[in-house]
Amino acid sequence: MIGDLPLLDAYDIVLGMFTATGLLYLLYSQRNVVGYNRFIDFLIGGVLLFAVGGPIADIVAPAWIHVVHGTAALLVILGLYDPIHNNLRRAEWAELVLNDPAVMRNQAEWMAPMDEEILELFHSAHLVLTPTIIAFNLDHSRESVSRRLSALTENGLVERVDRGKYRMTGLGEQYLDLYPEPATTGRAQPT
Amino acid sequence: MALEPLFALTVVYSIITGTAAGVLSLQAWEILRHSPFGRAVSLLSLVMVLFILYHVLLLLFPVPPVRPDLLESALMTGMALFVGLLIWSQHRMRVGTAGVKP
Repeated sequence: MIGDLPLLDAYDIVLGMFTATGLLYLLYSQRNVVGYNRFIDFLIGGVLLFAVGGPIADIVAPAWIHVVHGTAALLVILGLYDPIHNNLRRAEWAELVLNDPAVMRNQAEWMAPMDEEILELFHSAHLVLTPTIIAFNLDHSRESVSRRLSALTENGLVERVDRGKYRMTGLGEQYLDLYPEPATTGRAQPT
Repeated sequence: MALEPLFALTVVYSIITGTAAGVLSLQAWEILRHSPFGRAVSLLSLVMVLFILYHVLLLLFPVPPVRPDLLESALMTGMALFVGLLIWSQHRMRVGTAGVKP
């Protein structure tokens, strides 16, 4: 017991406050990261109602706690129904994202499409590679691969270990590890 | 001891909406499991399963075999973890879209 409050109720309230803070942070920041604001707002609203309304109702009006729970689940339904049955299936970008998460990586301005292929090759080979080997495997010219390697080196995704020899850095791995292996891609697959 | 009708009605309401939300969260997981939010959505599905079990126990057993407040706290913990995973996933996405500078 904490004062007149049972320990588990106090735990729920504290956890609810932390959860609510996290949700408010998400509400504040999600608009800059993902485009589907409406369904995320419903989803966040449902979890917020559960996390904050649940413990409060448990103390103030225990008979109504399941109405709060049910309504929170209803908001989760509203949050998930639309993206599952309409937007997500219809939206072209979503299909791309699901088949090839690399699209969602939102390459930096300096990056070129070939950079992904080069990084994937480094990732699968776990070797020090030369521009010639990379160009041969990816079916690009050696000159264009060299240019991209310079850009990747400059930005820390690849490092030059010796003259004409490169390997991927931890940052490069981190960039690729950000998303799971694509299910299918149109990219040239490294051999 | 039987449940009061109004209380039973609110529990049934929770079961119905919770089941629908659980099914949708499983469908969402099926679609989003390869996306950055896949792990968070899978946790949401687990939380919804616990949510349904909790309310079904309340409906079937006026004196539940497990303390309801323990289950409630487990649900709260699951929801908190879900929010934590959402924030973590979003952070990872932001890192990935910030120009990939060291």
